[in-house]
Amino acid sequence: MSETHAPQEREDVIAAGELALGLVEGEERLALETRARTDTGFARLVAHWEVRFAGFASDLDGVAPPRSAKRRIDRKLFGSAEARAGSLWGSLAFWRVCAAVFGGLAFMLAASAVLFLRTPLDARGDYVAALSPTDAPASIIVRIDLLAGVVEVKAFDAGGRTAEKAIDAGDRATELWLVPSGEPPRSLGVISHQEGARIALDRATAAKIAPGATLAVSLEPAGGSPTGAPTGPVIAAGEIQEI
Amino acid sequence: MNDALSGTGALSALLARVALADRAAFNSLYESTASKLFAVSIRILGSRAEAEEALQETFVKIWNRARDYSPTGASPMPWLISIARNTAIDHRRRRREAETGDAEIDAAADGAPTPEDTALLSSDVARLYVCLEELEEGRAALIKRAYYTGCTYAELAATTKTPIGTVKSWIRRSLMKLRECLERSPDGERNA
Repeated sequence: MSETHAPQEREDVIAAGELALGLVEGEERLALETRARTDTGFARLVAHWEVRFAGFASDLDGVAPPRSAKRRIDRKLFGSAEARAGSLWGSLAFWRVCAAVFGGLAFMLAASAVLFLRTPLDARGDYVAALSPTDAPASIIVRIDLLAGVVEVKAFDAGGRTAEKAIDAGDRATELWLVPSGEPPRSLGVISHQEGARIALDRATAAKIAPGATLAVSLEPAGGSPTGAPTGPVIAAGEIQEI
Repeated sequence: MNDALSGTGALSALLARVALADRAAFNSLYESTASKLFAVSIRILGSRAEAEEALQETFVKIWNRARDYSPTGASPMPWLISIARNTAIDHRRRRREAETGDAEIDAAADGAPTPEDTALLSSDVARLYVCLEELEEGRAALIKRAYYTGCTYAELAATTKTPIGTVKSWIRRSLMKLRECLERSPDGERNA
């Protein structure tokens, strides 16, 4: 049976197992970790071992953690109430400034829906603050003008200034998805990285825009998803709110 | 999509919503999985206080990495356990504990499920134990020890009082045999 594997593949399987178990150290470990970050085939081998070995945990009985553990986790992730109140995106004044950036008049039209991608920080009031993609300080505001049939995407940096690009996606594309409640995602197209990207909406898609639907951005191969469904990680998302 | 009635489907759905910054889903995921992940942390660290810290780090990572998880149709539990284990192992390494802690781990090293138990486990887990059984005497315990301590070859050699070259060849042969056995799994099972 072992003859069906090429010697290099055998070496890789073993190295992946050693890394997954943590047996290697020093230079060798660094080299393997680097490889796991850059070589997806090798990373998959390591993940495969980790999944298999997780079976050891099946003979462990669960132990309830103290209630305080969850509170501490929430505080670490989402900050205290004081921190939220102070955040830029919780500020009504700042939100109105953003609205003005899009052109206040069009913004107020009943047929327009302004989309704020939700942060983990719960905003006060009945608007939702914009989302910061996990690894970037910028925030994305998406505005949909149903009358004009246009989706506008703007990125802002942490200081509220227009940012050139919200996400550094390298050579991958950032694709915008509409996920109507209870339905599979549908692509709104690839967002160009420049500020003020505009996407035309077709009638069928426009009909699906409604509060409760979700907008999400995923990283895809250049040119967008080859399958018509999201294939890469979701880097920003939030719910549509009507203003 | 996922079968919302099965445990696996429910967990996958929760994780997908966590990737969309859904805090209610994060709370539900915590309710469903924290006990197991806490148990893993305690097993590795031997101390509740340290395990609590590790558990916090674990769930912070889960929140931040949920969007990196690609659903495969299988349970996301191994992925969650893997994060918990790696976090606890990191803590353990930083602590550089004396060997006295290992005695407790040794006692449970051969705690493999009995054949009756195996029937109740998920097929993936059952397969692991079946394949571990096929290894030579003591090798399964070695692998399990490595899993729960995150020890290096040098440390393993020291605690088993075996030359490091011997330990390496034991482990490597065992990994290869395990892999071949796991690949012989029944039809329909996906192998990475």
